[in-house]
Amino acid sequence: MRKRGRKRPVRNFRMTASSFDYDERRHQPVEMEMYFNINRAARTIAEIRRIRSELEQKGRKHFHYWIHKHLNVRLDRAVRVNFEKEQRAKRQVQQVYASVRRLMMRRIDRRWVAEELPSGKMKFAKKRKKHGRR
Amino acid sequence: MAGDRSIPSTKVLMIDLDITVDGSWLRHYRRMVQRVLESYGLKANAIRVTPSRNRGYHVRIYLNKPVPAETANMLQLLLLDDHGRVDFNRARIKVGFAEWDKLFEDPGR
Repeated sequence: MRKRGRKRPVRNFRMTASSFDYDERRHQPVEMEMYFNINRAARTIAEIRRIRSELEQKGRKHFHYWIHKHLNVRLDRAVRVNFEKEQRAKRQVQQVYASVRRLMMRRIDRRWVAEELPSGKMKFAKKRKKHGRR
Repeated sequence: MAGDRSIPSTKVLMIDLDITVDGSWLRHYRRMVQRVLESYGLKANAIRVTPSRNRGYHVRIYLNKPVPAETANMLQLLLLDDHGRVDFNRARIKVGFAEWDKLFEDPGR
C-alpha cells in the first residue's frame, strides 16, 4: 500500500502593516494599521518564511491600494510590516482569503485614539480546483 | 458602536522589554513580577523570557486566572512594557479590538 505523506499543520499567520501620515487639515499625526489574519499550511521554518514573505508582498500592495482608494492618501513613507508568532489554527483548514481589520490612530492630546475603518478581506491564494484541470 | 464590543479576558501578559541586562537582573525581574501579581491577587504559572529581534527581551507571563484586557494592559505597564506599545494597546482596547496585544517575532523563535 502506498504510504501517505504526513499532513502539514495549518498555522494561523498574523501580520500587521502600518504607516504614518500627517493630517494637514487637523494638524494631527495619523497612523494607519492593517491586521491580516490567515490560516495556511506550513511545517518547517522555511515554509513559514515563504508564506510570510508572500503575505508581506501582497499585504503591502493591498495597504497602498486600499488607503489610496478609500482615504485618498498617497503614502510617501515606508510601510512597516511585522509578524506575530504563528499559532496552530483552531480549524485545520487552509484559507484562500486573509481577513483584514483596519484601524486609524490619531494623536489627540498626546494620546493615541483609535478609529475603526471598514474591515474586509484580501485574496491570498488561488482556489484549488476540485477535479483538476479542465 | 465599535467601542461597546467586549474583549475576551486574557491569561497571558506579553511584555516588550527594550533593554538587555545581566542574567542576575532578570532573576530579580522575575521575582518582582511575582510580587506585583501577588498584590493584585494573581499568580504567574510560568514566566517565559526570550530574546527579541532587535534588542532586549520578550516576556510572556501565564497567569493562573484570566484578567480583563484593560487590567492586563495596566499590569503590562507596571511590569515595564514599552510605553508606546501600552498607549497603542489602550487605544485598540477602547475600540473593542480583540487582538490588541501585539508582539512581533521572527520565525523559529
